[in-house]
Amino acid sequence: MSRFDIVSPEGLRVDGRRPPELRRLSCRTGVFAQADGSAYIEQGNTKCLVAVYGPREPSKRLLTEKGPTINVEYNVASFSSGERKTKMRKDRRLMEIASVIKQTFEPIICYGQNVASRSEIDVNIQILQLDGGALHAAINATTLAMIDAGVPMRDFVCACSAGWYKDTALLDLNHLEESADVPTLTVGLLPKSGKVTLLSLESRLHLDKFQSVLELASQGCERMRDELDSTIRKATQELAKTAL
Amino acid sequence: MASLIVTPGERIAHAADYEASSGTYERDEYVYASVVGEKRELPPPAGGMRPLIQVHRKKETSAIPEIHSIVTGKVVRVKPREATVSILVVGNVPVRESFQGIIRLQDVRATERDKVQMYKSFRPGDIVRLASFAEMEIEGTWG
Repeated sequence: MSRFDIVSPEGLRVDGRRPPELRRLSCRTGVFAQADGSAYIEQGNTKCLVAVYGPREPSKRLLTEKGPTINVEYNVASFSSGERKTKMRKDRRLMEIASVIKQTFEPIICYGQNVASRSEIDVNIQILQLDGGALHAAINATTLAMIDAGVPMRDFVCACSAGWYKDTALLDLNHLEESADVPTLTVGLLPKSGKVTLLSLESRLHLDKFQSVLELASQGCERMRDELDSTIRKATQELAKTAL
Repeated sequence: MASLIVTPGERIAHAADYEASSGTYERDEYVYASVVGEKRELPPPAGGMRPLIQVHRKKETSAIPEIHSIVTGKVVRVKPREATVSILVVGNVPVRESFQGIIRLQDVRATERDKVQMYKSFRPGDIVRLASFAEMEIEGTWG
């Protein structure tokens, strides 16, 4: 038994949320002038910055069969979490997350019409502050940055995490909850078609509980979609105003 | 104005009524938007039955050479069998980052193809107008 409860007897979590509640979300697109597309997302205390370059000509001739190549660089700032970590040159963990993000976006990019099938898209992800849910914050920010860059996509990719503690499913876990033996399921969803492009679970979760955790995470994704959609619409309207 | 702006994944029309054009894609009898922008309808192309539907982006992306597009470029390297071109303009639109293209020996001109000598046809620095006819391969004409 830990020193404090993840869910208090009153049904509140450590940061005062109820189990099915998201953290405060704020996002912005077009934060860099240099990049083709960029986005900044804050979800609770997790802060993430993404810059997308491309579609452009591949720097080295890559013989992919079809579809553009996506290069993902995922970085966590050394000042992002409680204790400062010296960065290793080749961190396996970061490389794994980068490849997960790459695989999430590969099937949903439309190619053929505007994006030449042999072009290259570079995605740079920087986690500035880490308080749990870095993966889904990074995916949501990448979606926004991709849209900002004008990469044709089949749909938004909305990601959200959920976990299971005692008898309740918890949405959008923070760092304290993630590190306290709560199995965390991250779901990446295409909300329009309901297709799942990402499902990652790094600890064990009983199969009986899986359904309800997945459902809660999907609901979180739906809400995330509304938020991302309104951000994009607002940014586009502002752009339209400046263009006129 | 506000209602015309669509976001990726938004269903914008029936595929039976419209033909999917730039910024859109077709799936299961519907046309969906693939980029964010303004929805536009265009009259049907010559020989086409249905009007085109496209999503027009406000912020322009860099032009990308496609097959059959006319491009303008500068010769950067000449080899016995091919010349490398750095593509600067696609159609009338200058590109932000240049693309590489190759003029092969057999594509320099339409007649007497076996007598072409690359060194006599091109010099580094020449500006050439080209028709791209395959990805990463470009057919040349003098400009």
